[in-house]
Amino acid sequence: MRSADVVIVGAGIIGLASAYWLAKAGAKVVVLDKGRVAWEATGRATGFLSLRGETPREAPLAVAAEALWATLDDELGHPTEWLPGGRLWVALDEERMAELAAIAPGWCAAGIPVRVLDGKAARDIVPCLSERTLGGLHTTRGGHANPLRTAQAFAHALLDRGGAVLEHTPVTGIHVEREHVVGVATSSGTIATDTVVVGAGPQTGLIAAMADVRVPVAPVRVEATVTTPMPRLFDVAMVGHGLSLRQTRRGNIQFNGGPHEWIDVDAVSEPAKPNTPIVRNMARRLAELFPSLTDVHVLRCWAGVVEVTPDQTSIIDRVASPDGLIVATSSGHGFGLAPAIGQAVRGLVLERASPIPIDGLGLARFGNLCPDWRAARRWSAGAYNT
Amino acid sequence: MARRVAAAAPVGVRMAAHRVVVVGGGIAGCAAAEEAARLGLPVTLIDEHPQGRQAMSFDAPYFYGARLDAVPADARANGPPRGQAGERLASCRDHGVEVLTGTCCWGNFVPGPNTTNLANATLGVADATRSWLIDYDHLILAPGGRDLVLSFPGWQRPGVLGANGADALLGRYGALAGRRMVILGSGNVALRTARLALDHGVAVATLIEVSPAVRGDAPDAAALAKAGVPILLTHTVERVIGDDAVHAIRVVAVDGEGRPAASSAHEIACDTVCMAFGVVPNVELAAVAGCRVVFDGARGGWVPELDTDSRSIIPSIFVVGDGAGTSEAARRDPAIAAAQGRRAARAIARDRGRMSGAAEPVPVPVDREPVLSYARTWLNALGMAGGLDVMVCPCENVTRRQVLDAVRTGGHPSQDLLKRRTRVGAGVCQGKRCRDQTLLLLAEAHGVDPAAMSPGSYRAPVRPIPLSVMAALEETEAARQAWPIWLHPVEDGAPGYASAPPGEDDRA
Repeated sequence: MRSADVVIVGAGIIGLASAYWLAKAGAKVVVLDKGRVAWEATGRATGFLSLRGETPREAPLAVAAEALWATLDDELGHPTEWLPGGRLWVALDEERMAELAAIAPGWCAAGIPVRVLDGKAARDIVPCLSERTLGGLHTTRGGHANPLRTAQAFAHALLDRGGAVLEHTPVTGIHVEREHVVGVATSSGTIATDTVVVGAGPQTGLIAAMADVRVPVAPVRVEATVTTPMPRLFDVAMVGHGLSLRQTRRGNIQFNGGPHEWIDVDAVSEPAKPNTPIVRNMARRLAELFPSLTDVHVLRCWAGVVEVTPDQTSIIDRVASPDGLIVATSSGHGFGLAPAIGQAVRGLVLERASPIPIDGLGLARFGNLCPDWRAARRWSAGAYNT
Repeated sequence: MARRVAAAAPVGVRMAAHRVVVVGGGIAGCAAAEEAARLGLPVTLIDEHPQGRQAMSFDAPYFYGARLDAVPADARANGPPRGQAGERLASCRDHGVEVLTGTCCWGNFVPGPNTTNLANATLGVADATRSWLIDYDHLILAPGGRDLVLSFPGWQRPGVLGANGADALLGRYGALAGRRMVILGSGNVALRTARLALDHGVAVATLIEVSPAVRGDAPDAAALAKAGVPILLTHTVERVIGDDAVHAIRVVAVDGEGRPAASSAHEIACDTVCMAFGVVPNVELAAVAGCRVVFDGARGGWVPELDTDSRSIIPSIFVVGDGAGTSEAARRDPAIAAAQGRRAARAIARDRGRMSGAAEPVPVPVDREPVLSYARTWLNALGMAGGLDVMVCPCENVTRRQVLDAVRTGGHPSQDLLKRRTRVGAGVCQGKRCRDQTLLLLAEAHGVDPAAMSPGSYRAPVRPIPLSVMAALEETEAARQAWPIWLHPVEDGAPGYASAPPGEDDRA
């Protein structure tokens, strides 16, 4: 029987980052995925690192991640396209501007300095912004990277360190004896291990349930779009007019956002990820945000499946029972945090404690969550844009 | 803090639904549209010609290769379609088909798993200035094929183009800026292109064939020989000579293994080089809707899975003509494509209870050697004569060497993985110029049959569309108000908890 020190379920950015740090620390790591590397939530990520001023209990992870990103290309030996360009939120209407101004003190209190800008100052940072831009919020902290290349970089670096990634190998069960994990059943045999990390994005709840652990996540289908490449226009990770967008190193503008459909997934197959005509509404918003760029072409659209937790906050926990089960999921904003989440997982596996504060990110906070919480939220499969 | 907004799908004003929509005004599409109309079904036919110059510059799907004349010789190029294409469309109109020309179909959206909120199956279409949606009950895709492109030194120069591109520029637009052409390949596509060139006053210096025998039909080859056009067998391309234009092509004889004999290399003067290696199916519009795509070498590679009526696994979607699979035989005999089109239309009529009875049998053409197998022979010889430092993907500047180096780093043989690593296929032509060569290189390097690989993803829009055109200008204010800001933020006291959610320090 194959064996490993740690089996990681999910070859997305969180699973791969966890695997990399564990392998670097000397653990024998196997990463399993029902499909391919970075094919669900990571494949739809915009690629941002936000400093998480809006959820202060995630901010220590974000700060740690920012430091890790600075040297990540050298660390991994493969490119991530990290650009520490800061972050800019912009408002095209008064209501949104008031919301932005209202959140600024919270960010500053969390130790992340943000400036409230007027329209001209926002356009100084992103000159192609609409004249209609009333203003925004800006921080020089944070940045963005290429999600697919970064996931691939972690995967390559893991292989370089002797780890293994088994694609198209779904997990069919978690073996537990006397409240201890003893192995993982897969479509191609059982792997003996005393430690399982569930970092399976939208499938996290289903995989954890195999060990009778309840992890509340709701999968949702969201869409993504990219333009043809252009010369360098801006470096910031930008949020505005209902879109999240960044200019890639190649020069394309990746722009995500819009209405979403709640769905169900299973643990073994790739969910359908169709686009919808909403991509036209996304295109209109980008055209309104950047009126001078309306001749640029939409090159590709795709959709992804992202997991959302009840409070839209990460879950990082080593559960009490069965021993040896660690859960790591980040509610659809884990990409930028992933290098630090990986280190937190490494600590939870090897020392039973995270080197980065993860207080308030455990499963205990869902103790009184109703079994039908998705229905109560109108987040059940088929609900649209709720 | 953040707005909670009513859930509503931003849907716009749509054109009235037509029950049957046909995409593509070629032989198969027109036959399908005309037959469906004859059977009493309301039909809309969409054809992307005449294409705007910007669309042409994206090589979609024709590899025009910048061989477009600055001023089309025929002023009608931007008017009604010419020749047989025009006659076919006119006939469709006579039968009551609504014909939309100059309109490209860029998206195909179908209610199904994880799009349960989509009210109707709908096409995204666009003309030069705006996009809109057309709902359908049945769809017949007749999107044709695209030029199979294999690279050699100098192939990106203006003056190198594909056979489909040459066909469109010569026959449809009267706008081929060239006087003396060399054609690569000797299949029916190559022979037909040579005939068309001669008919339009373009000299054909020679056809180059890597194999020891002519691939296409003997009578057509004999007719070319009679017209004084030689076919140079067992030769490949070393490089194109020229700077900002093509002055000549340097060719070299090859042995049975495709190895070049350097002493045989010589130049042939020309201003145009036409790649006529073959035509492969345009499967994008079927694939983006969720029709299953399978590898079938005999039909030209990745093709939609179809039944004998040309129905895909989505029962409302049919694919006919070159888009369903390409072959030398179908290239020779247009009646095959027309029969496919008619049969699909009748299957739809049967669905509606409008007719019964046996379906018209459609011949299933089989080539001696499938197009990708033939292309592999060419690529092998081109690689040995031209080397590895030849661009595969001119949009993203990726060479054969870079593709092969990336393959050597391991992983599953996957075009999507290769795209992540090298950006091959990520550029403005949407992979239309590099997809097949990349597939062959991957299969060769991994030592696997292409059938064992995953197809590279196909994405809407299947043509690059300007933001200003794609924009949903008809969007309602209600839809704009329902637009979420990264989902809808969860507020304190959100439902789903037995009591108020625990605070942050409850864990301790």
